[in-house]
Amino acid sequence: MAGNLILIETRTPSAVANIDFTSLEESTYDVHLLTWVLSNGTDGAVMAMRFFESTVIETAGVYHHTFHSHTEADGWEEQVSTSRTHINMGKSIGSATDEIGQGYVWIYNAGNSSEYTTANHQSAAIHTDHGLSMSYGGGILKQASTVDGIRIYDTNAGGNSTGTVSLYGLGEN
Amino acid sequence: MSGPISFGYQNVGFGGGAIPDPGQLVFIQKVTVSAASTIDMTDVFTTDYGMYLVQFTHFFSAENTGNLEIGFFNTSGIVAGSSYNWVANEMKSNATWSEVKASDAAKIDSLGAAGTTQANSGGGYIVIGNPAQARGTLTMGNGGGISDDESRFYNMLNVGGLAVAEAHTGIRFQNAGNNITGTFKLYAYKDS
Repeated sequence: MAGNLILIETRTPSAVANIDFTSLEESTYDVHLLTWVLSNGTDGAVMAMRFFESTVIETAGVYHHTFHSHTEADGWEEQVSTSRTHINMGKSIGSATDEIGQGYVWIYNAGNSSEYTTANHQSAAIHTDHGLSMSYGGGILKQASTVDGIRIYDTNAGGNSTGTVSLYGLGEN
Repeated sequence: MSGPISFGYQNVGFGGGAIPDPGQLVFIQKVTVSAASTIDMTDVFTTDYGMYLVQFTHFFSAENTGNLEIGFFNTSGIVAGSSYNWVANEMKSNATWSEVKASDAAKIDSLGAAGTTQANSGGGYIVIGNPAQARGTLTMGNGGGISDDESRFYNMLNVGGLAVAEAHTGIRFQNAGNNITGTFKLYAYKDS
């Protein structure tokens, strides 16, 4: 029995640029949870997500996001935008073998074509020189559409993500 | 199968037939409302579980950028007065963040702001710790939607507390007297 946190798919990428989930079962679930543990090939990875609308990836500046981060080296930073091409979900992931990032994202209303899809998240990372970082925030795809896919990628270095990313739907049984 | 939906409320196990194994996240109740002044889930917290999870979707109120608020029930009814404390990091996509907070308040506020229409609705979660124990009750969550002029997305990272040493049996959702619309789902984390 699957329970109420229904695993839709787990991906285990190895040095890839994009991690795509193209089956959200969005007509069944209006709340999704995405968990990720990733290392990257280049220092300073900034993990982000984009959505697919009717199988087409949305890359235009139509996302809003709020992103707060704290790092040992750089202190606190705020990023906000009303014309972002993605939603940040984690930053400052190092590339050494003992450096890694992890986090979770809650995603709402993906399958509702009359509402926006929103998300909130929190993450932690071990970055360059073994310092710690944390981040939290959220975002919205500010155009009403059916979201049927999610792309996870490194906006800083552009690839080489390795690890595990899982997508769940929230059931009601 | 789960039970029938009646007046927007659904309770698991109310409809007969086999109750499915809920896994480690137990579905307790779902309420869907349209333009209601308050939404109550009563007699839902027990000592069977220590932690609960609320997920709300499609939330908006009659107040632009109105925030979701909660209060708790004890065995005598809703806990009013001034026993609530809360603080939130109000993050906005078009401006720098703000700290919002209150002490000795009548409810826990700022759990997620949205516009006044379904198109500008929002979602979020609230984790509730130990409500049925005869101690204080804590909440933490994150949620938000977009303002009516669509210039800013709200993201409210929040914690709250009800510092009264008593068992809390239910929860009320509201927005400062403004009617609210949305779907609210309550789950419990199984720990044994």
